[in-house]
Amino acid sequence: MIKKLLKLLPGIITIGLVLVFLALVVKGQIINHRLVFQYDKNTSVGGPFESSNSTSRYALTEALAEDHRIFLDRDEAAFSLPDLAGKNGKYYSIFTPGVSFLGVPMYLLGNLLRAPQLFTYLTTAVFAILNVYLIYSLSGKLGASRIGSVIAGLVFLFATDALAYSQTFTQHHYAVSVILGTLFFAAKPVSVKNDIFIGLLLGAGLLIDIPNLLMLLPIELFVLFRHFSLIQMDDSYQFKINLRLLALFLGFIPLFGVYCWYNFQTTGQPLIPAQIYGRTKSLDPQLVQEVTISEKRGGFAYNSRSLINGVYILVFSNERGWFYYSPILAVGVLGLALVLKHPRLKNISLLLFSVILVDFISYAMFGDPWGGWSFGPRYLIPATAAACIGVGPALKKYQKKLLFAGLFFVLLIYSIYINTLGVLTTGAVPPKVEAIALSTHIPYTYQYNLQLLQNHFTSSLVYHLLFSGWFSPVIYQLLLVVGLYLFLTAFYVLDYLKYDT
Amino acid sequence: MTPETFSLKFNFPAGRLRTFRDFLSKNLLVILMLGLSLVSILYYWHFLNDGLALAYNDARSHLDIGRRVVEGLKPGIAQLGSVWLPLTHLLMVPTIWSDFMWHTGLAGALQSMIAFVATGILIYKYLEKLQVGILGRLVGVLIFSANLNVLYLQSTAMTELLLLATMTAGCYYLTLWHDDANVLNLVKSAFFIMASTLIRYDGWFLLLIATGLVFLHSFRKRGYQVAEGSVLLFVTLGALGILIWLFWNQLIFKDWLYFAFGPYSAHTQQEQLAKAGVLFTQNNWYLSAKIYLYALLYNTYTFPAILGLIGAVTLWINRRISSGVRFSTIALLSPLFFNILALYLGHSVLFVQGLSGNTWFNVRYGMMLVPTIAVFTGFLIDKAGSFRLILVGLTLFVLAFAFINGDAVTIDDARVGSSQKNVSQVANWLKTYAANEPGFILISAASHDAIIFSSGLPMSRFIHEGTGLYWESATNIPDRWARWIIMRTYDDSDLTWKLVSRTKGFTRYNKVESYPFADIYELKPEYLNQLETKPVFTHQK
Repeated sequence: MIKKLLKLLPGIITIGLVLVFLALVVKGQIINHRLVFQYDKNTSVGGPFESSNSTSRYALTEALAEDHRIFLDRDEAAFSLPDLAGKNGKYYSIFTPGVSFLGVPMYLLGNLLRAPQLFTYLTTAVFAILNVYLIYSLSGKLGASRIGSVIAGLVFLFATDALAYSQTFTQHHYAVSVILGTLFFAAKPVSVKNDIFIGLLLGAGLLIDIPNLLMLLPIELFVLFRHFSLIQMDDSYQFKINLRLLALFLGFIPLFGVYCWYNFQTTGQPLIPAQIYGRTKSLDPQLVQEVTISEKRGGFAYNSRSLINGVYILVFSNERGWFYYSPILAVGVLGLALVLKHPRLKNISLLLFSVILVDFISYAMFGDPWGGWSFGPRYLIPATAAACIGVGPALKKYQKKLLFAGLFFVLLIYSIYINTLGVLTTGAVPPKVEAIALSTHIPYTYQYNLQLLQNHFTSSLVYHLLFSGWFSPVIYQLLLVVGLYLFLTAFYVLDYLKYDT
Repeated sequence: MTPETFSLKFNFPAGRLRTFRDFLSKNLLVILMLGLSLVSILYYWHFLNDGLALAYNDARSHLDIGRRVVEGLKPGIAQLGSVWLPLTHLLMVPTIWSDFMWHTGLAGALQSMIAFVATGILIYKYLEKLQVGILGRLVGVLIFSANLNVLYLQSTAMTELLLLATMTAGCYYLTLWHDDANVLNLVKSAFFIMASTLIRYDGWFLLLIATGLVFLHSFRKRGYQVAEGSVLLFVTLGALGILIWLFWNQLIFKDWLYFAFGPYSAHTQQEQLAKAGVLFTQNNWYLSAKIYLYALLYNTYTFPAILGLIGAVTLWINRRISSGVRFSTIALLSPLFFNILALYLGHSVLFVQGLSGNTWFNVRYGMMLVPTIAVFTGFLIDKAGSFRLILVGLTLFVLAFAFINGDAVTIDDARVGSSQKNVSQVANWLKTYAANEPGFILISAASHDAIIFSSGLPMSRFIHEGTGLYWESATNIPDRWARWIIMRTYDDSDLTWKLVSRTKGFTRYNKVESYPFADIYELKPEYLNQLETKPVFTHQK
């Protein structure tokens, strides 16, 4: 027993430290010994409710938990604006309801402790930790060492904009769990159980955010085609369909049913989600239906003409450039490319590249590749997770090369530095096109976050609780960066010394 | 239950499958040709019904030029004019006499449609020459044919598709010659490039590049003397079209370079734009390159262009393909160099919405590299190994959304801004009030060809710059020859206004209507009895 516990100890310590670091960046504020944001819908900058991506989902969670409603009351509707839809005088969140549904148990638990917001948002943190595990697991499947795989997971959580979004109530971490979960099962042999899980995750993906269907498409096709085979016989060919694929549909049906039910209740049509109807800008009951219909989208969300701008914004720009915010991802891409040479493992690597490319191309075609007022390329978080899986194999191959190690640490500390800026201040950075139109100048890059921090602003609850009297937010961030850097470096050193062998 | 029992099985006799595969490999080119022809016809029909087939002002002018060769007050070959190169107009001659072919635009679109099919086939053959497998070849053809900009321009009487076909054919045979040194391929290449030099000036630049490639390849392989001979052979045929065009300009307009510096030349038009301060790219390499590359990306939906770039690099570093063949593919990039250079020199103008102005004027120039991108992308797909299916899938993904959203910058250019000219009001007035009344209409074709076309009236009702004595007489004594005058009042760039407004007879006209593109003047009724209403100069040359 003690031996077993000792064996688990490194893992427990790791998880413990991850929780500590996550706790240090939880958003919140204490005023007059009272935890703010729990029952007041304060949408101030840097707070958990600063963005309607979170508030619209939180409002639905609240409605479900408090009154078992899927329609929002007037206060909740106002809180959700502009991510609100409406029909026949009823309001509902514009988003698919998956994230809100998942938040309900934690909301109820938090309500008992007078901290519903804090606990609801913890759901996202739980999924963020699950993602670290999935990256760890998939990186291991690609041949990385155990510690290298841990580094891969930690890079995702602490050196990319996934950190900032672990403190929101948005779809990103949930989507990553669904995509990596599907890949996790797809990497296993065909079985009824695995197929059911894959189908279930597809349904979950749909409930969480519709674009997940696109990002899951390559993996689902891979899984589907594994059920077909063409065998050459003496004088004929045999085409075989493994009927276990029905399990995929079996797994998909329950959550797809929930999705259809929710749409039917809200839009009146099972297959038409609120997004198709567009946003409602007014809370005037007389205007709700009119505005909704007039805002019905004429075209599709993805347009090839937007690709030029999208590719620039998501790849090269200082507004939302993938490598600009997390250059460490280059190591991940290198690792995935290395795996391509491995005949037995290359399929997983190809699927990961597919996820990355579909994510990039689809959101580059999206009219708003910036993701509104946000921090970093938030739409690319699934691609980021997929790329991070490659960090493990890259470390395995090159970690003893001095040049690689030097580069790795430089990229790592830069990436941690940038992304802690985001999580400690605000996730609402305007796109350039909007920033330059503002009467009061706001930088459109992470300079805005830095500016806030230098002006003694931070959103960290722990800082306000424990350290505000001791040092400035800038020092707090510095300590956090150093802590995270040492945390990851320790793993690097352990891996270098072949601790897990 | 075992996996064996829990599955559906279908058996196919191997022989039948083999027969089908053999049939496919033998007839793929024919199937491809039929498929492309069907797509071509369907899209022509689609754009005709949408009223877009003749949306480009230039398309209507091209059709009018062709029509004037066979019908009008002074029909004949001299009507081919001086600004636009003559091949597309000459090819219209066999069909343009039919009012149906003229007014549906089919007389001009037909050659574009044939060129569309031919270019698709050429891309396929080019990729075959580069040892690309069937999937890569088909993806190459798909990149070209599943492009709404290409499909739109193949449905109009514009020159782009025929230019693409001839240039691609020229490049294809040039590559064959680089591979096998067969002089017949060099002659074929020269022939098609010569044809392209008679369609658009882009062809002239291709001739220059191709000549350089011929010289370098021959010199490297067989020394100076053979290189000199090869170049002479190539240029003798390749430059024939240019020579004829220079002679033509001297013969008709008494100036070898009338097409380049005459009053209607692109150069003169661009000078006016430069004076207006909107020729942003002139003397600016960076902006010229940027604007052209944006036009290229918008025309190709970006993703295929990125693949094409990677494909080009992949091809150039591939040592399995002979260096000569790799070298020859530089010719495919000729439109890139030409367009950037033309923008830099101020001989061309191109607007990209958001970068320069708020229109897509001439954005179609970006389409000139679609076959190039198709060839390079097809090559990349072949060499992409495990990535092949991902790249094909993503390409289909992007193309699907391009079609769903009807993404075609060329249609935007044709519908909005400088390239379109909605002259329906003037044309309708003529249809209503002039169609059934005797008398000629005096108009400048250089300024108002779209009105001539859209009115639906026979060409013989119009007195324009190409009608010789009619024009000279009518611009001196308008009240004797023209019952109606269509022109832009107070605008000296409209030749009719410039000449007629200074005459005594002009006072005998009433301005009866005023429209955005032109005003209509009608001879006062009291002077109608002196008016010539029938052609009298029937023997003028």
